[in-house]
Amino acid sequence: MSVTAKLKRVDGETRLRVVSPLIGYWREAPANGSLIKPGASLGRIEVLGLLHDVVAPAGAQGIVVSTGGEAARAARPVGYGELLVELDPEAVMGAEAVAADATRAAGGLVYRAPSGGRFYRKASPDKPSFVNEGDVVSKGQPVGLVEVMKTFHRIGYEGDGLPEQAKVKRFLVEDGADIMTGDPIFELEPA
Amino acid sequence: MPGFRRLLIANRGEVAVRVARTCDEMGITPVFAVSEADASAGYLEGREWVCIGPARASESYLRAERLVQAAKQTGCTALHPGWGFLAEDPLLSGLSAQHGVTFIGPPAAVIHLMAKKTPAKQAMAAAGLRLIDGSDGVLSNVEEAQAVADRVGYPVLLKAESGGGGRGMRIARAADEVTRAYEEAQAEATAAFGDARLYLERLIEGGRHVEIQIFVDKYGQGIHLGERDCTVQRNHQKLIEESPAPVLDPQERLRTLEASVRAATSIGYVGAGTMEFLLLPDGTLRFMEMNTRLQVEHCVTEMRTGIDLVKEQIQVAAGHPLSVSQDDVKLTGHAIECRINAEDPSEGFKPAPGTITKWEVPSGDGIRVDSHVSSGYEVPPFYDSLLCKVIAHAETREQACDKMIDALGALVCEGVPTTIPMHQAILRDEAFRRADYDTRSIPGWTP
Repeated sequence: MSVTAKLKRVDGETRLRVVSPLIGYWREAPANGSLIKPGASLGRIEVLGLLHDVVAPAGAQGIVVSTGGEAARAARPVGYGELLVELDPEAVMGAEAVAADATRAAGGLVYRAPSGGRFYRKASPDKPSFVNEGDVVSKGQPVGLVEVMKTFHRIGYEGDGLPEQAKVKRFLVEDGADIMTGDPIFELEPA
Repeated sequence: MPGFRRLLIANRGEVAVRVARTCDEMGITPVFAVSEADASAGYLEGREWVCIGPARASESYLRAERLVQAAKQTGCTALHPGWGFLAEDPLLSGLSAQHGVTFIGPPAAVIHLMAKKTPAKQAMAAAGLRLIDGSDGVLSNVEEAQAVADRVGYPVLLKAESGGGGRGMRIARAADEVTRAYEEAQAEATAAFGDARLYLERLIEGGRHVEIQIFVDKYGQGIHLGERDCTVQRNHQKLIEESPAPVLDPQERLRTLEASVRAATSIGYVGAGTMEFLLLPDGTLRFMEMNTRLQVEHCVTEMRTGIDLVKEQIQVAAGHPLSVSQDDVKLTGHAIECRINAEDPSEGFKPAPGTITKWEVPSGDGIRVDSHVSSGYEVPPFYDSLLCKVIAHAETREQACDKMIDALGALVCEGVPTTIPMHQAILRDEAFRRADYDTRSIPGWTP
């Protein structure tokens, strides 16, 4: 038996909320980061021992950014209308578009994260930023900290195709944001 | 003392709040199963609840598997069905039992038996309750209908065995009308219920509605908690209920109370139940049907006996014997209940959903108000229009009626029209005070 999940849009938000069409135990939830399209499986809901396949409704398209809480459990009780997954329709196309846009705008000049983790622009909260928009950076100069599993690593200005010196035009991530290796951190223009 | 720690309330509104109140007193955590339309209702504030489906009752409150699943996943070991919705559906009782959730009500087989017209009547007649004169079960053909009608006397009513809601019913006022009535009733019954079987009863015009509250535990011990008169009705919807019945021969009353307990225990009944009777102009009580659940008007009985029927229901379901014996039941004074609906009585009782902007209820000695409403409550358009029940208890019927008039005067409901003006008119009416009326018309109120 299959049931279609319901789509809930929240005004002013780009993320889509896909909510449960049934009350029961939800299992086989899609993992964070998986791509969901209309008709895709969102796992199964068990109602008194009967398993119902849950499929994504029309209009539900995007990357799973949240599975409504404790996704790690084998089966989670959900009520009717309770959040199953939050989808970011701009996550794939969006991130690529932003990166491409940044690259294009900077004539291909963008500093990308050499490693993933939590990105900080300052060595500590009361210290000034390593670099600010408008600063000129040169090869090897520290530009931020990345926290990986409770340890901090300085990351320096370097990268394929980047000139010896460049001017920081615009930061593309917030201070304290979670980043992945290769994420664009700031735009550059020739100094 | 064994019992339940968490109980699912598989209902909404006033009865949900009523059951929760007793749960609170017993130290049981109630979990409300709610539809999407009720999820933001004020009565859920500070409560545990779980959403079972959309506003439409057929997708929420009428889905047994969703209710039982809700009990399972919220850790409830008992389920109270309230009244209405699935309270008299053997499926909910059976499904609960199958999944290890105790249903607060009778076993599925008993609910099923009482839902069938002629088996129910035959079981009750065997236990000594009198029936309305008519056919001995289902009619086999039109000739039998004619013979039975001639024997019991006209007018007669031909009714569908699987009927309900007034469909599949035809009146024959004379011998030459029986064939046509039989054929029409049969055609309508087939179309509406897929069951052509009919039975026949003498049509009683101008009776009173009297019912008897019984209670049976799992060990076959049964008691009655007196009777209630619910003669003030509109389209078979009760408006005012009271106890004791203002018109009833003491001998007939006693005989029927005892027979009702015998009848309930004889069919293996468990829990709270109500035998409904028609009080004939000749003074005899004739069994109509049994309601296998708690009634809306149970408060009338609670006021007179001082017994919490919901608490008794929960304890009996948990396997306890009845907390009182028949000798312990003391019926005191007179209690009367008015059902206040969000309807406009001057506009043909048009239901009036909307937002209640101001809500104040009366209180005082002998006054009880059961309600789920508070200021700002939005009456959803999807369910019944009951806002509250006001119950007044005093020494005599006269005093109880006067107390009720005062109480209704102190009840403030702004935002939606209510049936309060109609109740006040009835209570002030001479014919009502003399108990001189029957189910055909509302005393003191001409719509």
